[in-house]
Amino acid sequence: MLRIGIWLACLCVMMFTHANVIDYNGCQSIQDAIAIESQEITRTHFADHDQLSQLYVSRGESYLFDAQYEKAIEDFDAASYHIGYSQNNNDLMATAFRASLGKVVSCDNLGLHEHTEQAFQQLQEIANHVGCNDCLEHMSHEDMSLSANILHFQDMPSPCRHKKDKENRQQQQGSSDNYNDIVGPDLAPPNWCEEVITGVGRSMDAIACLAPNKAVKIVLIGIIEGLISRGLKCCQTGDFWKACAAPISRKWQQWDNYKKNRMFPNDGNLPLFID
Amino acid sequence: MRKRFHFLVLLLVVKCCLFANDNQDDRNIERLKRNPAIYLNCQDVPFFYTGNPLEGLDAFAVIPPYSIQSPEVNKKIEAAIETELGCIGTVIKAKSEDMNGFGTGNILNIQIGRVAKWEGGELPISRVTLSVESSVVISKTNVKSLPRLWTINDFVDSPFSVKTEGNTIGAVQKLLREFVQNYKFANPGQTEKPTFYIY
Repeated sequence: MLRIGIWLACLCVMMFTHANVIDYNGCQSIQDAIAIESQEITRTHFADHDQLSQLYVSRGESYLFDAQYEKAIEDFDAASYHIGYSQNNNDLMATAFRASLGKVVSCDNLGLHEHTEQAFQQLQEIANHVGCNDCLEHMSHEDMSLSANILHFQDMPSPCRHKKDKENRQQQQGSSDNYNDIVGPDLAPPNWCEEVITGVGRSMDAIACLAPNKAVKIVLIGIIEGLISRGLKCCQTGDFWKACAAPISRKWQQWDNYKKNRMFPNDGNLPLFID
Repeated sequence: MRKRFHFLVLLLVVKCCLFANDNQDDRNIERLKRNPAIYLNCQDVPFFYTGNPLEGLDAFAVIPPYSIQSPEVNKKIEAAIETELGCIGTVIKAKSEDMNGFGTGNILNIQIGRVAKWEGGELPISRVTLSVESSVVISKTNVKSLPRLWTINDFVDSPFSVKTEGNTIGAVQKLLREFVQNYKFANPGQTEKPTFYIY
């Protein structure tokens, strides 16, 4: 039952996402697709993490279709590595979801039960943060129950509503934000904005590194890099430094609060650190 | 006559060489006195040389070792940080919303972690690292970066666990003292005390 559910979900994800990166028009078979994806991977610069994460996930899915499960797992792991350095926040969690889902299916087909369980737990964490746009909230209660049952994603609608509420709160806050929760000079010296952001990022790295699980570390470091990148871009536009530092600073305050309460990141509490 | 002249020139050259060697030896001895642990790996000892990267740094954000599990040990480490850094500067316990420490651009990072074997698995030791990171622009490439400017390590001969992490207090203290000593060497006659924002 679990396998069928996962396959269905996998097919859905692939239908919507698989063809985004590469032109598959000339493909006659799944082997052709793998060949094209492999060519694209070798052509892509090793530091282009956004592109490589997408490409590895795509090829991993092709290997999966072709029942080459070991190779698929290798590619999904490679994708997870690149996701850790990816800067495209829009696609980050969706790609992570695809990689994680593909790994669950591959491990399951190989009969690697422990690995399947581990990958599945990670998938559940990611699932709470992917696809939480309006779609789920407009689904009927029956539809939601069905998807939750198939995928064993407990309480899927709850984090979505929670996220939506939070976004609304942030929008309201953003319009009247005076950054009282960020302490520092109103007139900042040169480079202050960049230094605050990179410095906060470094201290967040120290918390992320406490995660016992490599995958959790990768997700957290990805988040930090995303916040740094966003903040630095803001600094370059010459915006008020507190406005630029606010996203990373608030996230740091949240993490620091968890740390003070002796709560360090792990598989179980990852959503708290991401949210 | 010519022989005598040659002899005198030779004598003069030998004396000059000896004199020069004496000076060189003195300098080497002086360097050895300053760097008594020079036989250790360069990453594990503070070096005393001109152009020390700690020169002129007047404020730091201090990141204590977050990996310490025991609250008691944590308190002792915090106390050690305050005492040792308080010897040379002003220590401020910064709240997480206070960005003044991060704005300094200098980070004093103390980390404690396990040590992995190259072929996999872990060694039965923990590494304690004190490093100073600062925002720089690499002159050759013009790339902005936050590299480690200055770093030293110490090793604790037990696996890192709640029971044994008390051993690390001494190691942290030792590294802080070495940092303080090196900072003083790099900033002689400093009129304004450095500020340490502890997070």
